[in-house]
Amino acid sequence: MTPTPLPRTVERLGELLVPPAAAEHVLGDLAESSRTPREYLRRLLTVLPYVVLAQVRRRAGTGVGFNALHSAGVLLAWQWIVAAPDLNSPAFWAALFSVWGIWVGGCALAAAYGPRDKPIQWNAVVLSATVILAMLAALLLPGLSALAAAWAMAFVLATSPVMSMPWISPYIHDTVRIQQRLWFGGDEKGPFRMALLRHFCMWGAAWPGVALLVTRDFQSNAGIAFLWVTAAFAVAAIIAGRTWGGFPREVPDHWQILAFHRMDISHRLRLLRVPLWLYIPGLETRAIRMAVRHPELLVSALPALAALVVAIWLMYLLATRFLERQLDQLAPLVPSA
Amino acid sequence: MPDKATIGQFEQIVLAAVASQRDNAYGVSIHAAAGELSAPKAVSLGAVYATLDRLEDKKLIRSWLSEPTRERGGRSKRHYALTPAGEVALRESVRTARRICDTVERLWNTATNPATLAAVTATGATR
Repeated sequence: MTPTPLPRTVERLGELLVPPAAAEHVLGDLAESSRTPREYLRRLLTVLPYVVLAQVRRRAGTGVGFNALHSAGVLLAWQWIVAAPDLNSPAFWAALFSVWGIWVGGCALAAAYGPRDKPIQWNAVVLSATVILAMLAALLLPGLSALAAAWAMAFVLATSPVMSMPWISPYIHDTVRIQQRLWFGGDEKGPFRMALLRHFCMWGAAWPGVALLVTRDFQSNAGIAFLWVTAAFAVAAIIAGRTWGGFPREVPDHWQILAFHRMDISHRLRLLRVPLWLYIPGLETRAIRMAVRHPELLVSALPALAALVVAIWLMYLLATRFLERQLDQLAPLVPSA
Repeated sequence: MPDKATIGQFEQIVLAAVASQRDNAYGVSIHAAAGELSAPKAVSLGAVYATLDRLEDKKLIRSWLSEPTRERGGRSKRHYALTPAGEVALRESVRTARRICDTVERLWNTATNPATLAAVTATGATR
């Protein structure tokens, strides 16, 4: 078979559509096995859904799943408390599902189209498009103006990575100190149980804090009910964190502890790529409220907001580089399985 | 010892296709071999890619990129090869397929030849 050379536009289209992680071999295979540009395009369109879904499965992982659950919860809570929507209206649910679907689907695609050599990095263009589309779709929801949606999204983008930064929720990477911490758990599952407990406590404590802020702002019965539900969730989470093991009962040796911390650092790097709505809806809700009631403040605050975004973006870069350096140092120490 | 990965029927076909292509196992050749193995059912190239990714995640195959070639528009091939775990999984699925085949053939023989019914029943009773 002697395939005719592909026009540059067709090649560019292929490069644009196929996720970078799979582009090299998939586009090569298509070029080799297609005799005409028309056949190339037909095969490209047939292959594309499989390749994209495979990359979503490989790269989106639990981060997007976690994000999907939390964004659904937060969107519902906001709408319930802020706008008191008609829950029997199909239009309301369609609008809510549109915002949520665009956000989660876009995040999954941003993960799938990330750079080939950086498995946990998202595609900035796809993520930006997702943000814009989600904001436009949010205008369909009751009680949200364009300014309020923009303000809330700016807070989402600016403040969410902060909670994953190593200086805010520190971890210990020094081997000696890791060994010293073993007494805390009291048994062989010590470091694992402690990490699990820490995560549960962080997440569990965030919800009631958010609920308190929302309740104070809106003074509604729904807010108080939300407070009770989330407080109960926090208590249950902490109890579960203290009693539920879920890890193998093995005595952690030096290598196991190092491997655990390598996993923990990798997890933090992934978190830095996921906007954690959970930690910030209090801020967002307050921002929306301010934007709705005092739009003139919003205009004057835009430069400050831009500066905040840039500052946080720089912190984000520093944090990822810091964690990546830690990973580089740990990697040669931990023997591969 | 790590847990054995479970593989589905299409994964078995793709695994066998990778094994059959030896040093020349890459997307196009694996797709062609998988098509022959699953004939007359057609196999989509996209499904082969998705399955190769899944098998690699299960550590049943490994992959690497070759040098770019002109006939591929200056792009590399991704070559695949079975890992030791992949070979074990393939052998296991071949044994299972053989057992199914033997059992079904015995049943069909029984249906056409009642004299073998007792033998099949006796074999079943001893298991």
